[in-house]
Amino acid sequence: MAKRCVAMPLKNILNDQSGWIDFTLSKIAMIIASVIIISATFQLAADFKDMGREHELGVIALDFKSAVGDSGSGTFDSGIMRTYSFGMERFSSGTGFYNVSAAISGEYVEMTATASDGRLIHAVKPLTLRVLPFNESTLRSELAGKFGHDGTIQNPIITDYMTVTGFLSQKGANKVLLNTGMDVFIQKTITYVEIDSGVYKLDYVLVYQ
Amino acid sequence: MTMYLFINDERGVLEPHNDLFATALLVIGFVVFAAIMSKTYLTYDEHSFALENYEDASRIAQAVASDELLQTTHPGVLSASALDRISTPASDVHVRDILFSSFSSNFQFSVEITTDDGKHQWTIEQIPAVTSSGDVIAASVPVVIELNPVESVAGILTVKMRNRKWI
Repeated sequence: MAKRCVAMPLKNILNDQSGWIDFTLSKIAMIIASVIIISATFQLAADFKDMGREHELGVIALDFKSAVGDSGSGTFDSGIMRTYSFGMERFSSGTGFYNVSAAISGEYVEMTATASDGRLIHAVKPLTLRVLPFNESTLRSELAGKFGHDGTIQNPIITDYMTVTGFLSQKGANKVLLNTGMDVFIQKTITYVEIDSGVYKLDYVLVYQ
Repeated sequence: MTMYLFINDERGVLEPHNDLFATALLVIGFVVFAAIMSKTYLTYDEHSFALENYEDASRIAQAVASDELLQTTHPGVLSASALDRISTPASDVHVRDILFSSFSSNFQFSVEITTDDGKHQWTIEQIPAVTSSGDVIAASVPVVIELNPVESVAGILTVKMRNRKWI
């Protein structure tokens, strides 16, 4: 009896010549496809907007990286200190992100910000020159503590230069957070290393606040 | 005649499937649009990285050209004898390594110095040599090379590095 109740509507559907089922199925398929396409379009637009924000943040990181690179690439003599300001007001209008923070290590510059939807966005740029994220007095005390000489011209380090570069790379490996509201000091410095064939200079750029 | 028959066809054979055709066309159009947008973005991104790497190569070229290790007693003039010592195969590895130690290990590059008349050429390579694949980015700066105390010639210093991608 129960079988009859189920079989009867199915028979009716199969014999229905009015085309309602066909019409309904095609409309449902179209609605589903439309929803998928509309949501995909919105997602695509949102993704492009996110990528645009990351690029804008990358521009700030690139500006800072260029300032560090320019200070160390021969344009500035050693010992001369240059100040860099992030000048966030230059970038704040309509960028769609806030809480911009900066960090630097011996290898890279990193900018982090919070997008308007609450997501964290990052931009990382590799540094061209060897950078140390601390000031000259820290550098000299670190060198004096390790090698017994602070690496100034009066007191060159007497060891293999690879040992010195390895030690300083290790010291500069940890990233240091920078306050984007304050000036950053960039200074080219020279560490003197004495080996058998003479005294050689190792160029470094110091970045600190 | 055919058009007349098509318009006045009342059997409705095609009508239920019109929506599906339209939807299929829309989906295909969207996929093509998304593919074109993605390709455009990827091309822009690639060019953007290439430009950044070119700026780095240019900065390295300027730094190498002004490095005291390569210069004579006259500022801005490269010494051919210094280039002879550190060009591949280098006889003075200390100087060559110290020259490269000024730059971050993020970048692997080689330096080529050629006189404008093409008679002299020096290649300074990092050890280990650059082996990674990828496009080569090159930047050049004009230099003056002192061949001997009485002869200096103009030349070009070129830094070649691999195109690398960062975030």
